[in-house]
Amino acid sequence: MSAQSACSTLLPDEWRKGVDGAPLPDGDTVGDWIAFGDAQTGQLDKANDRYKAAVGIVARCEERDRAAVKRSRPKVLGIF
Amino acid sequence: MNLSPLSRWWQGFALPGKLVLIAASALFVLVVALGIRSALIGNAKVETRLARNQAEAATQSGSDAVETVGRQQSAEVATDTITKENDHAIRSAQGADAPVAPAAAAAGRASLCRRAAYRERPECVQHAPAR
Repeated sequence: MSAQSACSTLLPDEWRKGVDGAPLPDGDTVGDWIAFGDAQTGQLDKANDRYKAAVGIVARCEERDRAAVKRSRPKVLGIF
Repeated sequence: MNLSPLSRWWQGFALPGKLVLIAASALFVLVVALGIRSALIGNAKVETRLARNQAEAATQSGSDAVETVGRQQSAEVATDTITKENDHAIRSAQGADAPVAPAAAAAGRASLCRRAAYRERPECVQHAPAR
């Protein structure tokens, strides 16, 4: 039997490191801290979207592999 | 005339029975031959078909991954654009330049430095308590 593809190798190495947090506020005004909060939320969005994308890539890859094995099933007496 | 037991057995059948026996024997030989053929050739064909189908699946999965990662990268660029626009809007808002009490700001930074995402940052490492 041929080996199935390792679906997780399709994911970029960079994604394994995760998404960095937003830069710490460089000042101490109200605006600095609110802007930091918003920037941090943007990074959270990136992390969530990468997770969904990664799960989708692996799930679809595994389904294709299953379908490939199913299509290759041996035929009875070489006919059916 | 002395007949063998097999000949006597065969001669015991009427013509229709003999034809049925011949047809059944031929069918049996055919099934056995197809089974042997399937065993000899079938496995090689299955392996070839499986390898071809898996290669096709791997190509499609590769293309899917490239497209999905590309879309994610575009989405992240768009997120950064929103962050810049929001930053400008926040800092332009009335009261944005009001100072945060130094103790509150220090507590905020210390809190962030306790998080795994910030623990190794230079701002956190230089202020880490001596061990």
